[in-house]
Amino acid sequence: MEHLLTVRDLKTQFDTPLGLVKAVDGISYNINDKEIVGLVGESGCGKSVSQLSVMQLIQTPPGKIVNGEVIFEGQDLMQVRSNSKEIRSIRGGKIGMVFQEPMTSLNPVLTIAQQMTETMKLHLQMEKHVAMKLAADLLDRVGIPDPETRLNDYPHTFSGGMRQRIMIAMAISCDPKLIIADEPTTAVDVTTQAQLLELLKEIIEKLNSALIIVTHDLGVVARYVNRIYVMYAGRIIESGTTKEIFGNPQHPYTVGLIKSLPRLDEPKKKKLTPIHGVPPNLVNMPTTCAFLPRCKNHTEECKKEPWPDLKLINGQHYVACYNYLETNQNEHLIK
Amino acid sequence: MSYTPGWIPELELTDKVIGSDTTLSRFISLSMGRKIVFVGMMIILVMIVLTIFAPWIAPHDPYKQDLSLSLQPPSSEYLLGTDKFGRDSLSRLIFGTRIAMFVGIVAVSIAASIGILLGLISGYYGRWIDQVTMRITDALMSLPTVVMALALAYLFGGGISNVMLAVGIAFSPLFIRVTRSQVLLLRETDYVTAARVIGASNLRIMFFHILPNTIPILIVLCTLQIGTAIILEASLSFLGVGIKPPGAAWGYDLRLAYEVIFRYPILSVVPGICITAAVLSFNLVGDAVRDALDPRLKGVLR
Repeated sequence: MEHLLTVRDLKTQFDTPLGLVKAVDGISYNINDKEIVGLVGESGCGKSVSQLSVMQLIQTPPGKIVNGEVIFEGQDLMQVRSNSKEIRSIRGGKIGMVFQEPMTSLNPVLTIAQQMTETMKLHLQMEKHVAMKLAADLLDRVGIPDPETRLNDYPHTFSGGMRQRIMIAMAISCDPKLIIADEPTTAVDVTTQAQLLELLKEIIEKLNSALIIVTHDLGVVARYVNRIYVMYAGRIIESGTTKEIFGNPQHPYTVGLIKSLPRLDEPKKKKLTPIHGVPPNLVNMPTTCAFLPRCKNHTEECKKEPWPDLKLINGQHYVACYNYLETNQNEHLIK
Repeated sequence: MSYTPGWIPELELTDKVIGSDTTLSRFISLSMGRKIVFVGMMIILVMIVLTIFAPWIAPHDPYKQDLSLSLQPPSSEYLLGTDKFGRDSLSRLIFGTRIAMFVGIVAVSIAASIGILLGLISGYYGRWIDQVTMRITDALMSLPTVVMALALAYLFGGGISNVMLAVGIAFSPLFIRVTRSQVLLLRETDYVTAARVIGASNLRIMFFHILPNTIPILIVLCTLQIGTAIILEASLSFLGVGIKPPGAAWGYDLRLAYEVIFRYPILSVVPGICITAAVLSFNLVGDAVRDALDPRLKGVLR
């Protein structure tokens, strides 16, 4: 089956005074039409950089996409020059993006109307009054009350949650095939988080588009995504359907992530199990498994062999570990 | 117990500022609150009126020479006396306002246009474009502005339009620097990335997304620089490379008066006061504009 977006062996590096940082080190993933995929990992593991690379938004220098294919609707975006007309027509037109910080993602000196209609004028060649009408309609759809009046307001008159709704409205304004949400709920409070994700899901279903949610919070995405990719130190270390990942996590890191989530169905007094240690420094990474220093299950093999490749273990479930846990060993984690 | 320090006028003023939230109303309450700013505004207003209505206000023709009336003391006919060539001093001062305002505003506009354009390009694109622009700017800034304007005015050959050009070019490095530093900050903001994400072109991002954010600081810089431009024009005219005689410029009048400064001090004092008052007013109002536009800018400029 042809995927909507296929990323193959993407490598993005940053040349810093401290050395070469391999922020994204050969990741491959794909997303189908109408699918919701989660990209999960700790801070600094390359989640955002991988998404910016897909959109060709890495600043060069210091960053550089050194390798990889990004095939979107049959077209390799890596072959397109980073500021050409082609890539610009895809950005915003076919791929929409929602950012982490709603407080800073809107230009403070332009009204909401100016910023919203810009996309439509660029991609749909709309007349101003048509675009204004559509913008009001979109604001209404994302749940901003009194949209016609609010269109002429400046960003500072909106709360964080409302701004994120506006960002979502902007992202969907041109009927994109794919929406990339880069930690869309990190900067808003918990109740707003749930509302925003519900909204995103509802909109995706209406538009028949696909969604990539980038997040560090497994718990937040669990009920919305179809498939999950778990990233660690610039690589994907486990992937599979939500059921496979939550029901039968194989990589010790994924297991650690799930164990560190608070659960309502467990006794209150049970302590959460953290993952000890810190993520590795991305400068001068060892050739062995990057999770090795924090891993409790490591063997002698892990210390000698290079970082393992992803291995298919079951269905769509891939894991990058030499001694992944035996199937169903973690049954206690299955609901 | 409430404590109201009556000796700090600014404190009463902040209350007013909090009450109103538009830039204009904040500017008005600021300028009304500080008497000295109000005075500055009034002087600028008078200058504007004189600029527009000079031919109707001036009692005599500022260019008409009459050697029989040379160096007259103040009288009811010639309120401030006459100069070496028998021209009415007051009329020349009134027409001089025209030149001062005109040179000040046009020169700063030239400087701002050059500076904003180059600053935007060099800040946004970076790399070698930035390197080249900034090294040239550094080189120009190492020269004192007066020396550079003097050299340029001499090169272009005096006259009002050439003076404006010379002053404009001499001031542009400052505008390049300020714009570039703002662009460097704004380039990294999320909303600029967001603009890129929706597929906006580089030009559009520069002029539609980044430029409006630099406007507050640039308006302040412009207002402050108009004063400096007036003084620079006066210096050039004084040194003989500015407004060509018989043009009625304050600096040129000052030069004529300087030859007879001990016998007829009033001829030197009054143009001097005019220049000082004009520059001071623009500086005061510039400060008020800065405070009104963005209180956080306090201390960033100057």
